Amino acid sequence: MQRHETVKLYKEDLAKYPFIVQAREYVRKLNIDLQNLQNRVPEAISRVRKLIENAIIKGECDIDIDNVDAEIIAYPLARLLIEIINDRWLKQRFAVAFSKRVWNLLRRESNEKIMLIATQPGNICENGWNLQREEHITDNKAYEWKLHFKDYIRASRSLKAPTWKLTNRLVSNGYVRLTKKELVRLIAECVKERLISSEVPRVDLQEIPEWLKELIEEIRDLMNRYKKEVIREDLADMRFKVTEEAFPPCVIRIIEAASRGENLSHEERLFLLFFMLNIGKDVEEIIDYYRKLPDFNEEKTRYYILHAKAKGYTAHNCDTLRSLGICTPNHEWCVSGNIKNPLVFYRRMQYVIRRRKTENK
Amino acid sequence: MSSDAGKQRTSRELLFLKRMFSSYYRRVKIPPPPDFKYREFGFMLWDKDVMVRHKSFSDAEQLQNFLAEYGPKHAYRSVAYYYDPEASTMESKGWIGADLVFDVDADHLNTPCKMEHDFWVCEHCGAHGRGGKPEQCHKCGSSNIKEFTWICERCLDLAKEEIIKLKDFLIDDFGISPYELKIVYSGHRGYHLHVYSEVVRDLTRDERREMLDYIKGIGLSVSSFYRKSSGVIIFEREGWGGRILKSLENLLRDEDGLTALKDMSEMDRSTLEKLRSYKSVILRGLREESPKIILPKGVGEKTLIKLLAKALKMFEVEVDEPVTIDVHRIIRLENSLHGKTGFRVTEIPLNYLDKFDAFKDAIVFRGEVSIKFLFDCPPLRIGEEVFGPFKRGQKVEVPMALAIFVLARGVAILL
Repeated sequence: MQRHETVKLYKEDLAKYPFIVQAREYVRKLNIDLQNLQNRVPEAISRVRKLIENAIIKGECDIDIDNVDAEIIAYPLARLLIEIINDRWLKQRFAVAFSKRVWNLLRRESNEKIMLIATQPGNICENGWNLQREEHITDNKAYEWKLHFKDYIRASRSLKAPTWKLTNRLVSNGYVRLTKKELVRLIAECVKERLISSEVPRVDLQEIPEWLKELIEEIRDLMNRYKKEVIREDLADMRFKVTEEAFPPCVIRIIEAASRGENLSHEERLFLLFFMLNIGKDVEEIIDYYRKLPDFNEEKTRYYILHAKAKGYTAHNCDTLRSLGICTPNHEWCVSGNIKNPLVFYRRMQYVIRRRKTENK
Repeated sequence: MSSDAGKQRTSRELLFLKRMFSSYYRRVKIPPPPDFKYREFGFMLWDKDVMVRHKSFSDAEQLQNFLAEYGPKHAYRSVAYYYDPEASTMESKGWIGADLVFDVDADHLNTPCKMEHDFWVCEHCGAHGRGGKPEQCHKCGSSNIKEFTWICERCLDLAKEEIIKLKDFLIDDFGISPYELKIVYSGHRGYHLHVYSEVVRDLTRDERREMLDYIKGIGLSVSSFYRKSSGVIIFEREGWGGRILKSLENLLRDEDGLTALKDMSEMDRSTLEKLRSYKSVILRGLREESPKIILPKGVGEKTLIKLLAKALKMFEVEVDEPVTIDVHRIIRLENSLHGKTGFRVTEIPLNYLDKFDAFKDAIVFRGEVSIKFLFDCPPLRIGEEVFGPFKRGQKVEVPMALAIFVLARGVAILL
């Protein structure tokens, strides 16, 4: 199908894209395990520390090609560490940061190299993408790629902006047109999703070497310190419980995603904000919902909230939410079609809960 | 699933229907669906209102024998493939994959003829009326009301239009080969479309929903398909872009379209006049290689977007959503009989779709039988001939296919 042999991958490429099959193969051939790593490639240990530190603190991953072996090994090592620490927030945070690095590097690559990385089985998905090169140049958009709709749907799953919705794409004969920029973004999304969802082989914690135990503790400390600084998690969690009962499913889904530190689309952010303002939450309480977002910016968030408050916007109607892909109709009230706005859901549910409580008394 | 068995329909009629269905299955070879060994089958029998599920058949003869023995009221089979289709829970069946299916049903389309041929009867006082059933009987206030739906050509033609639009989406946009598509008349008021393709088999619920959103035009933003360059709006021809252009062309081409335009967009007179006088310029622009929309002075982009959003309604397909996204669904077995009509669930070759006539092509019973009508009933065509309308109490000899239709609906009894 695709001709891979025309592109040569160098060791540096493996360091840039350590998730690809050749990189895994390279590590395997080095014959390195947790026991001999400290002697064989000690630099890998400081590299992985730096990689995760940066992800936690800055939300970014850097790259260091001076020591290629260390860089390639640092990736599986980072995944192992994160798996052992077993914290959802950290996993998410690292995945987002690392996928940003992939995006940044990949967009500068040749089309041939991008083709190889995307289509080779096991790199970004099990079978590799069904991807073709085809130019379709218009005045201000240069589509250079065509991706099979199935791969497109899978890769764009977490991208919620209307421009990514399949309905709004150029789809024909089974393929979706993409610009280079869009393609690279989708590849980065896949890398992120795989980091979040796929499992790393477990290791027996009894048998891990001392240096690794220390490193794990170090990272755990850093993570806890950082999370505490920014998140005020307990407080926020407690507050969720008070009113959550009456929230419509669409709001619950967004709050849950936000509290896991997942990225929210612009529309989801706005809707959450309008909804919370409408039910009378105060500005500081609303800001707390956004704290764990990967790109959280307190000042910006406050500005948006105050602006919306001044304008007196009302939360989106259910119809609008449906079009935006935000509607999550898993309550019978939503399915009935009698509810036109999530605020109506909230008020009715509040009433039902209140009545249920008085009846129980 | 509700039963159509009216109180008046006795076991005599049910036994007759069962015998007739059995005789069909003894007479006609039922080719099982592709890879049927991996599919679950389900049946509704005549004597009880429960579904017999989790059945499977290892060869075609077994299936045929089952059908001939029980003459089931309804026969279904799964869209999914399982390692163990007979296992009693979904978890233990071992899901391998599922065909992609769509269901277009006139029940979900707002067909105007419903008022003419559907009717209801109050089971408490006997009052009756046309159209869908009211919540309460207007005479005695009882809510115990029975609804009788009918089928007619107009309902089915509308459903057929939807299935044609759907087919175009699948072939043109999704690149599904016509050889991988199968269109089936449901035996009642709609059509099913099956996609048998390796490509779609492992799609998840959410992925199927995304395809459905595309086909239904959900989340469509017209502005994704054009860009403005020095005052000219340049359009894309692919995906929904092509449909946007076509709908605009349809609207502008003749007076009917222009009138429709005025009605649906509450457009003022002067805007409409401007569009009318500028029509040929716009149409020429639309047909260029990279299609353009050149608007007359005083008609803005916003007006255009509003207008297009409405015009696009004609391309959206009315599909029953749960059927498509449910990867464990069971759907009517091809060539089986529908227990509410006695019509055959009929496979339709793509090149015959235009000509397909359910009242002829789905009829399997021959001969005549005498029956007595329990209600006033609308007419029904069987083959080339229209029978009825019928009066309550009327005793008449009718074609067997018609008799089975009305007996199955519980609106007549055997004489």
